[in-house]
Amino acid sequence: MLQLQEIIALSVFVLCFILFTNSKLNSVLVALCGGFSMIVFHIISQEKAFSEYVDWNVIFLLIGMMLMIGVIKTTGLFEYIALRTAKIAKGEPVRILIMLFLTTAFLSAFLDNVTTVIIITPISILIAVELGISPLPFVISQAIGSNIGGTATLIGDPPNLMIGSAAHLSFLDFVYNLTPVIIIEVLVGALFFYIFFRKRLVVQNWRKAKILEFDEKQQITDKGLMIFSIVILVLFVVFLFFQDYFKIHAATVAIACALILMIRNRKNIHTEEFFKNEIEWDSIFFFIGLFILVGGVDQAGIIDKISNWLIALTNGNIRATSVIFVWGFGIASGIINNIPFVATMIPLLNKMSIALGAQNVLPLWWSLALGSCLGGNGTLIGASANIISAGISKKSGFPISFWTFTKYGMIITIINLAISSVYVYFRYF
Amino acid sequence: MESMHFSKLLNEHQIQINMTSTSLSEICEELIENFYRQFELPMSKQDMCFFINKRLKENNMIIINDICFCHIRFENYDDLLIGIGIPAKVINIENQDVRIVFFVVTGYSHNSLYLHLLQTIAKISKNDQLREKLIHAKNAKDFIATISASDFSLSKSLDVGDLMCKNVFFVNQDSSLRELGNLFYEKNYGYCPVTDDNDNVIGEVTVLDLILAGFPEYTKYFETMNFLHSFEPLERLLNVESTLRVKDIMKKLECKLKPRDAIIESIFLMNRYKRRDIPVVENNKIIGIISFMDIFRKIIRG
Repeated sequence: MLQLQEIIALSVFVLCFILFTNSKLNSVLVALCGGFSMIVFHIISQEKAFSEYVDWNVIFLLIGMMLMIGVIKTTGLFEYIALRTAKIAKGEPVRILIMLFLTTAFLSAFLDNVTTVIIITPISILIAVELGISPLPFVISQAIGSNIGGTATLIGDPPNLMIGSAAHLSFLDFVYNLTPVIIIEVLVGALFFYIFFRKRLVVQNWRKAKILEFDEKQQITDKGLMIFSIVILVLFVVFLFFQDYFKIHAATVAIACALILMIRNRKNIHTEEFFKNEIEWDSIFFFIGLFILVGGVDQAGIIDKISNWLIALTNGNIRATSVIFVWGFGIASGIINNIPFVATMIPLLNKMSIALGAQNVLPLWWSLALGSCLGGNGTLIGASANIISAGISKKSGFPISFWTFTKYGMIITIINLAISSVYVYFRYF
Repeated sequence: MESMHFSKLLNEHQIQINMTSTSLSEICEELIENFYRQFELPMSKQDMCFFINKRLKENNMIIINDICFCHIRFENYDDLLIGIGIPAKVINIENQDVRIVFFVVTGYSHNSLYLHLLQTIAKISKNDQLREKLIHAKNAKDFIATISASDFSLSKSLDVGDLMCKNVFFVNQDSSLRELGNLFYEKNYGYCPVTDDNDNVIGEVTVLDLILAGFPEYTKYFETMNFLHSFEPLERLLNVESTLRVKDIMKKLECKLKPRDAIIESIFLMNRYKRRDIPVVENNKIIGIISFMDIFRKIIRG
């Protein structure tokens, strides 16, 4: 029998998940209301919610990276890279498409997916307009590329951030376990986009010449700061590589790098305005609400019950479960935001780790990461990067319908999930 | 509204109801007595009484419709005091009835306030109903309350309606961008309110908005656009000029003013929204535009 507390906790939780699927509702408010209801109904104490369940490592890692990007993007580095890519491709549209896809995937491994598409999408629309072709292949492939590339590292995508922090998996663990398969996924993705679009992207020579006319060096507004930024970015990644050795959390590395960049650029930064503009408070509060919401369900003992039930159901067969995870979370992430799923799965997998041994459950963490990150490509609304880039495209006069995106997204996702499931099936057993 | 209500200047200790005095000079002396109880004045009480009596003898006062107005002005005196006396019995001066006495002491630095005060008293004298009410006020508080209830504002300075440019042009939302461009060009002015078919204001548009019509959304994400030497969409603006309508590029009114709004509010809005022009709107109709040049020309260099 469920006790009253369990009933309340479960009702709030289920209600929130139902509301998350309604894209017209503000999910940040839903998450915060859900989370704080758990405290109001005494399912979880405020102390516990704030100190145990809100993962401040995730929150500050996000903030640190947002601040770093806030400084670096003003140097024009990313625009330089994108424009340079187009010129290296000699204005040849298919080559630009593939190279920008690869660039997006690479950048997205180190930047947030949404940040990446906000930088790359406008540039590729401009390139397409200059070339006199439809920007849709560019916009769609880049959104998809950012989601695939983001899966490669600890810092590439919020689900990875949360998983790494909760399961004590380091940057290096992600590089070792996810990067190889993601490199394959990206290359296969590039091949498919080549097949999809190669015949459509034909342009006149004089238009290609216009791309070669770009003076991308003009985008570099502050060369000194740009070089400094690259050095700090490299140091950031190096420190993350050796985070176990230095016994330092990712959030601290990110905040430290952000502070160094801000101090270097202090003349142009008014902290009040800078924090307001660069930190996506919406996301931060979404995470906080979600962490407390999931904390409530955990405190009410529901996660324990599900965990026991799941162990019994899978009969301890981690190999089969990991494949089911890849597809299950892959499909679910295509329908609703993957972050609430991952937030819920984290305490669940932690409980299973205790019951079955951390080492044994490890493949499930990677399956969760692969499924939830790659699954976002399944539909136009599956990932924030898709929604944002389609939004930019629409406002620029090139609307992308749900099915136009989903047609390509679905094919790529099925291929991605197939590769991933084969990978987890053979790599860990 | 930058104006001060007359009642705010009144002080209940300086209002005497049911005075037993039977002459104007006695009333004035009593009011002077009141002033000296509360304030310091640049002249001795005796001198002041002597001075006012001299004025009264010279008939140096104004009497209209039962109201008598007398005043003393000093050099270098920075205040404005109003004493009010209501005699129990009507006083007759040269065939004119006096039932309320306004006695004002002020300096030369309060010229505009003083002039508005005169206007207000003149207004009271013309309002029979109000005058009767005031004469029969039960006490000083009642007197002030009666004034408060009526609309006597001492406009201290100009308002938006005085400074705004009334000769405005506006554009219908369905006009083409070409028509809008011609209008801007012809009037040599970069701001224009947008109206619907009933001439109600529904938005605004500037020359920059017109130019930006050739500057699509995706460009807004760039840090700089220096890498481009020419930009095709901008050239394309010439082609869309006749197909795009004003409503496609107009913005909602960011802020607006009413003609009675204070100049200070218009400056406040210009600074807050960093803009040059603010439409002045009454009943949804555009009646003027105030720009910072209007304020600069007419006030700072006025």
